[in-house]
Amino acid sequence: MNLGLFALRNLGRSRLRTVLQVGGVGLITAIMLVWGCLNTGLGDLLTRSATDLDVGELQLHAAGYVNSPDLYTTMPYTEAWQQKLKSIGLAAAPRLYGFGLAAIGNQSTGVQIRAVDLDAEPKVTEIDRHLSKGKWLEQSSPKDVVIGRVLARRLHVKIGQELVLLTQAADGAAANALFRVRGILLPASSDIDERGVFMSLAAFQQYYHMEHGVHEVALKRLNIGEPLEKVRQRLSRIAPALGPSVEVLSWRQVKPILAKMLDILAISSKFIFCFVYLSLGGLIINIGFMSIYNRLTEFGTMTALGMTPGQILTLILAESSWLGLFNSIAAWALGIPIALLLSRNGLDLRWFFDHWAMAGITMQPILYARLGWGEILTPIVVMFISLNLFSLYPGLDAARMQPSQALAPR
Amino acid sequence: MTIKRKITWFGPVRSVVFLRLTQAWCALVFVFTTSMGMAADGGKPTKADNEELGKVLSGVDKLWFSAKSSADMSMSVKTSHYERTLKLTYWTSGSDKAMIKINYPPSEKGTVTLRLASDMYNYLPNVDRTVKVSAALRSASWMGSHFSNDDLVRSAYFERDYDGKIIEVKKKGSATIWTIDLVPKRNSAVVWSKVRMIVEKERKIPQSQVYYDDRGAKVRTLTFTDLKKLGGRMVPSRIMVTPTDLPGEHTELVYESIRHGVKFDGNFFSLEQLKSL
Repeated sequence: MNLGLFALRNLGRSRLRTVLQVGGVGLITAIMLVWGCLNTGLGDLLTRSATDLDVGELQLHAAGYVNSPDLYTTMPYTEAWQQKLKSIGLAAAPRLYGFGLAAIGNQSTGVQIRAVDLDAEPKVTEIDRHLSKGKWLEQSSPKDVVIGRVLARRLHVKIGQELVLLTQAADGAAANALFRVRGILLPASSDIDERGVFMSLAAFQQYYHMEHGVHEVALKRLNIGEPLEKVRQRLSRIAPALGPSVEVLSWRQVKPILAKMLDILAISSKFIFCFVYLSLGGLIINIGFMSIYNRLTEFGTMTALGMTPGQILTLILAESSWLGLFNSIAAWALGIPIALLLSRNGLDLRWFFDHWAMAGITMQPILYARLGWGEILTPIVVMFISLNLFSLYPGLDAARMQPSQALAPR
Repeated sequence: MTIKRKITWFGPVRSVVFLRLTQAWCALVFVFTTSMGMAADGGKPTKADNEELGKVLSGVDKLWFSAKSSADMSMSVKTSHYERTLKLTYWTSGSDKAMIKINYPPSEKGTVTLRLASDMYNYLPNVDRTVKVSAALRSASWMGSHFSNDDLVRSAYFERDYDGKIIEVKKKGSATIWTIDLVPKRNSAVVWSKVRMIVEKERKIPQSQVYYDDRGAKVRTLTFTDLKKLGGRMVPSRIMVTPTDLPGEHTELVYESIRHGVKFDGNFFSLEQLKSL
């Protein structure tokens, strides 16, 4: 006797119940598949926002700079560095940072001045393409700056207007100069949005009276397929040759709060999966019991004809497995096209808010789903396991039933 | 070697007696000289001391400046990265108007900081702009020194903004030296959680002020030295600020001249005046 075919025939005999069960569990599985894709997309968006707009994938610093940023904690940076970093598969962008006061009219606020190498920065981040208004910096206009969007709003500054930057130069003298606002950035991170003033490295060096050294070198893999950890280890091996106090940090070390947040996001999604399918368990048990008690005479007859309790249990689990397969087909048929649509066009949340922020990263409110094998298979596997697990209880109940008891007149 | 030989000469017992006698004599001399020539502990403050505290704090507040006054001073800054000297002129009218102009070095000449009540402005001659300094940056360094914007334009006053408590009274010669703990009054806008001041009561001359942050950590020490008669008053002409977390660094402010009873035009302390100063 083929129990698999027998189980399939049983499901066919109760078509309405089967369709209802596949509709319910399949729909929930499809929703979980789409939710998983959006969740992965959110993680990607957060990571990309941090790496592609701000920190890069890896960073080099003078030792201690990250914990205690100081104008004077610099490291030398030469053309030879760039060549050496390129030889181990990394694009490099040197940077300098300073703090000061930005003012226009009667408005003033504290700012973080970020100097970037205009040729190297686009090879590491996309900040030069992340503008809401105006244009990115050019070598030919050293007195131009690009500023964060919240800062622009706070100072009521528009493209083309002049901004006074006031700070203390490296030699202790007061440094103040006029800079023209050339561009305003799209949401990037709370630091950039609220305080970021970008200028060229050359302009910064002139403004701060600093001739040598950089505070940070942001790095990105030339071959994006290569594992980041492998590249980091390679970089750590050559770092001592770059300078005695050069430290290597991954973006997770530079942005520990974001890294923690992503870890929590990954764990919480697993918990939510379990929670949803545990909730479904009650429904599955209920359906299982109903289907068994509706077929009490049938089970009694089969047992009287010589079917063992093990075969009864296997039959019920086979029915669950068939249901699982149908659920999977329904979930994929419904979930994958929706996920593909969301991965292409994104989930537009602009009706609710114009931007959103998590762990200091500001994002545009369009969430793109990511569809991978993990997102396709995880909800199916969890659904399959829970379906069979929760069918065990009614299955064991049916298997233990005596023929005299099952066939007794009611 | 010499000591060893002497002990041997006295013998073990005699050497112990000799040492005990020497120790006792030294202790006697120390106590005598301390009580006579140095300072005597005057104990706890009396009721009269507490009543007089407000006057002393007010005196410290007004020591260098009167209702309308001006001063010329130089400021030397020493950090681990640079050393620089600025020459400044300072004007003040009451407790709500103050102005400070840089005369040297030439690169910063003409830079003016103005405080009008709670607003603060910087005029920057090289870009011909006046910048309003946001309240959040009041505690930031002024011109690369260890003084803050607030310090230089004196927006906080001990008598007005702090509650004082005399915690120690000492006598030093004929002078009474108070150690006072000052904590900000409930609604006063000051950045320090506590200031400990050592002040000479009679002449209302501070000797030192130690500033503590909101976590109770010591942040900086101001010492007042070199008493001189300036503007008809005896004042410490040198004020040195030493940051606790930056050993070896300091800023020294030296008063060169002080003038009291200066007459100002009606719009002297105004934004319009900044450019023409």
